[in-house]
Amino acid sequence: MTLLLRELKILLRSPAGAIQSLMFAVLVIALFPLAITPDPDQLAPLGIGLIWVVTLLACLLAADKSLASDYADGSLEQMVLSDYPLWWMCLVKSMAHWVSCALPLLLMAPILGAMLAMPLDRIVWLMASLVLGSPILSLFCMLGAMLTVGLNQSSALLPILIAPFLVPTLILGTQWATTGGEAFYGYMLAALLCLSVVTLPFATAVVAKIAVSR
Amino acid sequence: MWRWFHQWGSPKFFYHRSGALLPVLALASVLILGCGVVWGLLIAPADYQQGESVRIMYVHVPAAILAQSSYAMMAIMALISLIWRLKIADAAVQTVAPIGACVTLLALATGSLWGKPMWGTYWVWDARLTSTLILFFLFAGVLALRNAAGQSQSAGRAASVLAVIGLLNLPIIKYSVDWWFTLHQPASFTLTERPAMPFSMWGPLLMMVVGFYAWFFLAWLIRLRHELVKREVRTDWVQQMIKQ
Repeated sequence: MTLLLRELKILLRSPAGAIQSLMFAVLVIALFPLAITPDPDQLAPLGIGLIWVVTLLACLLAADKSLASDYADGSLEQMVLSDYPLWWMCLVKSMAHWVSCALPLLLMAPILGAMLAMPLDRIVWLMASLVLGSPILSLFCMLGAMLTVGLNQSSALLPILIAPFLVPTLILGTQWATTGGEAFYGYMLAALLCLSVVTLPFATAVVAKIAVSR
Repeated sequence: MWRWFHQWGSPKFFYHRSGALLPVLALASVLILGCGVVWGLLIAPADYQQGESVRIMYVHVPAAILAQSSYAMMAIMALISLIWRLKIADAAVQTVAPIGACVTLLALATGSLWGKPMWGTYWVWDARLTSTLILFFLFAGVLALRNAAGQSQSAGRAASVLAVIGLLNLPIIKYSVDWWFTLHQPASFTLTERPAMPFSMWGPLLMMVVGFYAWFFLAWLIRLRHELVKREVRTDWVQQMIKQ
């Protein structure tokens, strides 16, 4: 619990990272109408997919920063060495990544949707799919950050490693939203979330030990 | 029994014993692949629907089968190296990754060459094509991590964890891609699968599959032996070999 409070405090005192990923998302969404067409009829069907992809990219971009400072000042090593359960630390780190990166985007989704001329019911389903899907993104991003922490080109390497693992989440999330809440996709997305929550923190903990011994 | 297994974990023992396998594998891959190529590309009949293009299948199908199973082999080796910390398993993971990536690329390339005359396009977002593409990205991830992290022991373990997680994720990726395609729209293209393939066609195909495997193990073994010597260059047995 103290760990969670620590992460949230860090976040509150330096919100630059969260603002950065939000700005990135808004900017990229603004580029699409410029590049494709400003015609609302053509933009609206693309909205769900574009916002999902931008969310995924924003999460990947922010991931390596979330561990870099902990690794640099040695607090990651202390967390691994302490008798604190390491998987819990990894889960908390993922939650912090979600709060700093996915949550602002989730709250911005209506505005992003409006920029892409999406109807209201589409926006609601988009937000629902992001609520279920984005925690999976954060869990995988933390795994990738742990795999690449302390390496030279970690910010370039991380998306290559992790993006293939995000494909099922992306597919299920966008399909659920596009079909207007077809139950099958929703159940599968929820199942994937449960599976990720109970397995990925442990995998990340294994990787954390390797990262510290590097 | 256990002693027998343990022996193979020692790089020295493995290097000396596996040398005998090299000519066997080399001969097998040359003979089987040679016969398969002649039989498949020259003798086997052209398909009544696909015409001569069906011959691409004699390269494509073995490559696709090998692509998937080489990932599985890599992940199993990675699991072994994580659990028992065998040096040789780690070297095996490192050496099989580039071969697997190349085979996956070969499967993708031959598939798209076959797709142009058959489907009228080099690429469709078909479920199988997409999951093979993702398989290639998984191989690329393991390779990239290995390159960035260098030769240290922790680098190998990190790459091994990635490979194992990849294997566990592969069914999830495969099924999600299947659902994405099948529920999204009715199949506009299906692989022309006829239930009864005549022997004149599956004979060379089977031969090519076996030949590909023989070649794959040969390439793997050569790379692995090379890697072992590189890693163990400071040990006595390698020094002795160099002197001889």
